[in-house]
Amino acid sequence: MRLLVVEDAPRLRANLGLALTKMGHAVDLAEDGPEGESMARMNPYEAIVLDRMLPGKDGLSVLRDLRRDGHTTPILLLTALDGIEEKVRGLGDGADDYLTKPFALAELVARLEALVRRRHGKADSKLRIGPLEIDTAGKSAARDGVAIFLTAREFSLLECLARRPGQVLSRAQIEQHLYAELDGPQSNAVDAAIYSLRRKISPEGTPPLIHTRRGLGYVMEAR
Amino acid sequence: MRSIRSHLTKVLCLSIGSLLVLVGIAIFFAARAVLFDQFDATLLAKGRALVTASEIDGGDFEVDMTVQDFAGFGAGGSEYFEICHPDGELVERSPSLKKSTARLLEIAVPDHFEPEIHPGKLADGTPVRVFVQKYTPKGDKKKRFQELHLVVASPVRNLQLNLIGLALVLAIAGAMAISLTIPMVRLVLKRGLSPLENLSSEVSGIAADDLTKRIGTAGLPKELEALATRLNATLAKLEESFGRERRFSSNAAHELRTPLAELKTLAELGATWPEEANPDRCAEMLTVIDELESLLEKLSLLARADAGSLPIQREPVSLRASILAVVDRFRRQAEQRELTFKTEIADEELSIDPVLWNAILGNLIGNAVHYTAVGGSIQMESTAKGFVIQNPAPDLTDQDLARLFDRFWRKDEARGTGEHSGLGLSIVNACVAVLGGTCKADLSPTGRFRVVISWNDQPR
Repeated sequence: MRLLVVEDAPRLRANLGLALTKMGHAVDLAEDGPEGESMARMNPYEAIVLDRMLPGKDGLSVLRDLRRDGHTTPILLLTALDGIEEKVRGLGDGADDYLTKPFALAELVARLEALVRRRHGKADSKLRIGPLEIDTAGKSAARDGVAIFLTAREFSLLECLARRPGQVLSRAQIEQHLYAELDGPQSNAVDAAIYSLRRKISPEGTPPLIHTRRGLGYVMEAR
Repeated sequence: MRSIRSHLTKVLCLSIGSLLVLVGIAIFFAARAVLFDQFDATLLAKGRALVTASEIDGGDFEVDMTVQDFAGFGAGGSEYFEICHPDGELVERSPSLKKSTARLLEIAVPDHFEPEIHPGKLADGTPVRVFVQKYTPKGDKKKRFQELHLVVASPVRNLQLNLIGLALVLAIAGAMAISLTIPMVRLVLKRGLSPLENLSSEVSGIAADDLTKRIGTAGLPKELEALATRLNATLAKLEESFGRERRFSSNAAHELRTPLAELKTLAELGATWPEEANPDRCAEMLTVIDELESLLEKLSLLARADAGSLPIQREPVSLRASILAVVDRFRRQAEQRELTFKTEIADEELSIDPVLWNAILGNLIGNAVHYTAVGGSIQMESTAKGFVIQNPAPDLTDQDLARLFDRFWRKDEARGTGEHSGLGLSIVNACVAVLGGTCKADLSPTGRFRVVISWNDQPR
């Protein structure tokens, strides 16, 4: 998933970004309200982690302005304020979820994944493409019940394609989902990752699940 | 529970009832006295008429019959008289007594010649008023009828019946008045106390967790308006005080939550990915812990100041040396921000607790260095009587001044770094108060922020 973390506490921001990256997500970081809002408007994030109290423009104002302008990206409000009225206010202003500091990383990620699943109309964490079964919560994949071992980046690519079965995704779109702004992928990084993923999910003799549309991009479907 | 209304109803009914009874008794006795006075006046007139109507005609004693009949002494009349010699020998008696042979009544006649009236009873038990007088009739040339005793008796039964009638009327009227008093008192008290009851129900409607409500003062009587206004003022103070407490608790939790979240994330990073459990990560954790420790020390200092348990050990401290030492601590930071210090420090000593004095200076100078815009100047003046620090603060407003000393208050709500917790000025305020001084903050029209500390009672 490509995520945006808007948090003003520098240590928390950096370490949260690092942890999410290590979990295989592409993470952009913003340190204040205006920067966070601007990045949220420019990039197609799967979800945004937004601190409630931010310098420059507070989290609730950023949230309200994004929602007012039609942005539907799931937003999880992160805050040190634990009052019920604060939560109600945040959710009322358009937040999809609310997490109080201090939090467990696993809980934050689980909530983000649940938000993304709901956005794609999925109630559980399982995705199925023909014989392939992907567990987005457990970060595991299996073909015909046989486990497939994937790197974090490969799993992220698989999840990106599997969430949009039958939909052609261009290299640029895949890059946007896989890489954070500062990652700066090499020109053939997507092709290389697709090649590697194809070999793992469709061993020789099995029907391919990722198909190339020349000049357009890649699509995942069971034919 | 005792109710004012029922208590007042009881007391008022008893008071009014007692008053009515007393008034009834007073009316009765006043009427009785008037009636008896009138009765006695009539009796006196009759007695005097008999004295006047008595004469000695041709050596015989006579009483003018016209007077006798007119005054009711005639046969069948209800008034009686007897005239006798001092030795008791009967001279004359009223025709109304002719059938009776018994004497009218035994009563002492006064020695003087002035009439007297007394209560008495006839032989048959009839209550009467008795007129007695010693007199000598006209024309007694032979001195045979000297110093005669005249006794006139007038029955009072009719008078007594009238008085009984009056007593009955008064008793019935009193009972009716008392029975009407109860509902009237209730009605009057209900109406009279309704503003108090309304006020009571309004006050009862104020929940302990909602102090935003106020009591309506429109239409309240002036006695209650003052009370309601006072209650509203108390509620406003309570609301402000609870609000400050709530903000403090919430802010304290907030200040602790962010570093805890940092610690937790750092620990989870190290626990999940062993390569992240490195010295840099541990150093970061130590920094967070140091910040938490510093915050807790500040909170503990404030708590001890609030509880009055902050130990104070005064000793002579050089003003110049102590202030310049703190300035030196911030000099590098000030140089980075191109700030200049202007100091006017008297060459005096201050008898003060050096730890608290350093805490005051550290917070004030630290704040000034942190919040003064790049290139600004920080000015300090100090004598043994006080300390003043001022620096440009163009973003600060007069509204901010009211909250400056609130715990955890900062101009910018966001609390990204652990550098400034918003406790500095409240610590300064608490320390100054503990040391017996006052601390005030103001803002000049040119946007210079000034904190003035005055030592009210400087012990030497």
